Amino acid sequence: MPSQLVLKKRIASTQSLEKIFRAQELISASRITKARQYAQNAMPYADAITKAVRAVSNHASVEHILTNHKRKAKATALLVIASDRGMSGNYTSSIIRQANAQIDKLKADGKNVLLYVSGKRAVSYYNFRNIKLENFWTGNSDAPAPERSQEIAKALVDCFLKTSKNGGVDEVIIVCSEFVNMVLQRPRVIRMLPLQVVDEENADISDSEELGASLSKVAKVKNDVGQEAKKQGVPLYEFEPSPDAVLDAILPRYVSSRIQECMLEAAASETASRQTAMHTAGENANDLVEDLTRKANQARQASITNELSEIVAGAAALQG
Amino acid sequence: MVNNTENTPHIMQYDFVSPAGKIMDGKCVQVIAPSVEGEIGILYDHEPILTALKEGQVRISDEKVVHKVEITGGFLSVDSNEITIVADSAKVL
Repeated sequence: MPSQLVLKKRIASTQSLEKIFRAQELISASRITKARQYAQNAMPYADAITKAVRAVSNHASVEHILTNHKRKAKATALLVIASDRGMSGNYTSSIIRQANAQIDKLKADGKNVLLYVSGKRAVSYYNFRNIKLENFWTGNSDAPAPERSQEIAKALVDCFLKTSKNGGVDEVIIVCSEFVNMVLQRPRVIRMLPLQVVDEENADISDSEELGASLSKVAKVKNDVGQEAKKQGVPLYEFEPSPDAVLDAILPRYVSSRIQECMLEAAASETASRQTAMHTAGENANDLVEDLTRKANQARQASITNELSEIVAGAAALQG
Repeated sequence: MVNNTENTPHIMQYDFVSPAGKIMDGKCVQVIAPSVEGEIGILYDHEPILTALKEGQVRISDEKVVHKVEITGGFLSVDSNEITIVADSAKVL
């Protein structure tokens, strides 16, 4: 039985920990609101770009280097989006596990993998293991600024546009978190480049099930929209100066807007995951305090009983 | 067009968005934007167009004032008198 003093100290420290957990939980709760706000702010931009991309893809000849996926992929850029800070349960570790599985699979296919990482946690994970990162970004993972996404998109598109000989890649895959709801966030894999602006029949679904599923989903959306647009009679746009130049302007922005979408979803997942983790930790601390209090009471009771029996024994000895 | 009579002004709907959010929207009579090939002016009943924008100033005139917005690039689409201006970053002057 630990001494009363030790137990009291432990109770005090657990109580202060509980306060920290509670505070963290409240902070995450307010950050979630902020993350939602960011997502809402980004919506009109994303919508406008998606609409424009659809308008262009309805145009008969969509041939652009960013949509070209005829070439056989030899090198892949993998963007891992994780968090800057811990205390978010298994959020980062599940992302990293998914990323590592993806890396292994790509390597098994004989592809060279270039790693792009966002989030301090993931960066330090790879640095500790001496795994080379092509590029990394840290800071503000729970409130990603659009400039960051533009920067990441630029790096990825540049890498995609380079020839294989110069260290370019043939596809870009993103591993990030999917925000299902407040208690469930799961890692997912998205194929970013080459962009999918073809009909479902032509979609390349020879990859993994997951990839295939997401691909055909994208293609299906495009398809639906295409048909819808045809029904509504979307006007044939005039492109100025030329369809190619307009694609050059729009597609990189589309990529960056999609990445921003991923970052925002990751931010929401991170804060939600942190909130859940902190809630559980707070509850555990509470349980622990209860347990320790009981033990402390027991110890107090034991010492009183001890004292009493000593007094009684002393009295008995005097009488005898 | 129903509104296309002598005394009703030719008013178009516009949306101005950037990655940080919606900058402004509303009704206007004219938009002038810095397209990559030079300034482009959009008036009522303009043909549907999709054009890339370069760095410069977008001027949106409604019936009373001219809104000036500094942009660093983007694109603009016009479709049945609805104008969408998408800017990489925008500063309202």
